[in-house]
Amino acid sequence: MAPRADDIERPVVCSGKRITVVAAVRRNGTCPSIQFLDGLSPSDSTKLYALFQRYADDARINNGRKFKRLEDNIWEFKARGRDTGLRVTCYRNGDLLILLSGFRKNEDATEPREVSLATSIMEEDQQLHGG
Amino acid sequence: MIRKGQRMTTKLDQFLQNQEHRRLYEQERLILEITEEICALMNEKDVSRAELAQRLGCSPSNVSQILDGDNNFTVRTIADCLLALGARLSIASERLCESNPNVALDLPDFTYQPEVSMQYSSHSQWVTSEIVPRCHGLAA
Repeated sequence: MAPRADDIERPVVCSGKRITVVAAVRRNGTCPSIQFLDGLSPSDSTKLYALFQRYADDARINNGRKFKRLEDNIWEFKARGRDTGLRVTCYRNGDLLILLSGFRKNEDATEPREVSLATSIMEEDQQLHGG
Repeated sequence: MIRKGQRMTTKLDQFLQNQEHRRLYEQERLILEITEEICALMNEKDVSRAELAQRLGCSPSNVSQILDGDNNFTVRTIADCLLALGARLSIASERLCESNPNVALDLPDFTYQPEVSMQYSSHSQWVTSEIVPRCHGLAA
């Protein structure tokens, strides 16, 4: 049985002076960005956690090599892992930054299917939580 | 499934309960502090990567490597970058809370309060230092 919208709460990834970073939970109960983070080695996930906390404190990342707009409301965090590039997509809603999905990527450009997945998770999250 | 009432701490809090994770995190945090400061100065002064590379006498890809924070840059490299941007780094340390090492204790002007310094130095096993870069513009 599918969960009701008010049953689902987004897990808080970190909280800072200006922003709280949470992770979108899909209707089926999965949480793609957390699953991605949990599957990384500690040295790789640490790079992303440090970026999230920095954003939470400053509400921005100055370095375009670490945080860039993919399209419209969707942005991505970028870090270089031991073997591959690491990406986590997100969108902003007021003082919340909502993580959407994560994937490994070596080339700079993000593939349309990753953007499409992020868009789909964002739309689902907006239906569940408003915004 | 994640349901209401299940959340007690943040994912980062949980992650940092492991001492090795904590150590890695503080390294990354410091690298990010420095690269963010360099990028902020580049934005403020409208200096491109190519322009900064020219000022440093290196290639733009070297500057990219610095901004990626992937290679261990030296203190000398940081000083050179900031000087090329008309700034310098000053260093301070923040004392961290014992019960939650992700929280810095708010002790203004720590250096000039010896009684406070003594109090905390006696707990050196849980006092962790970190470098907080604060850049000051240099007169032209």
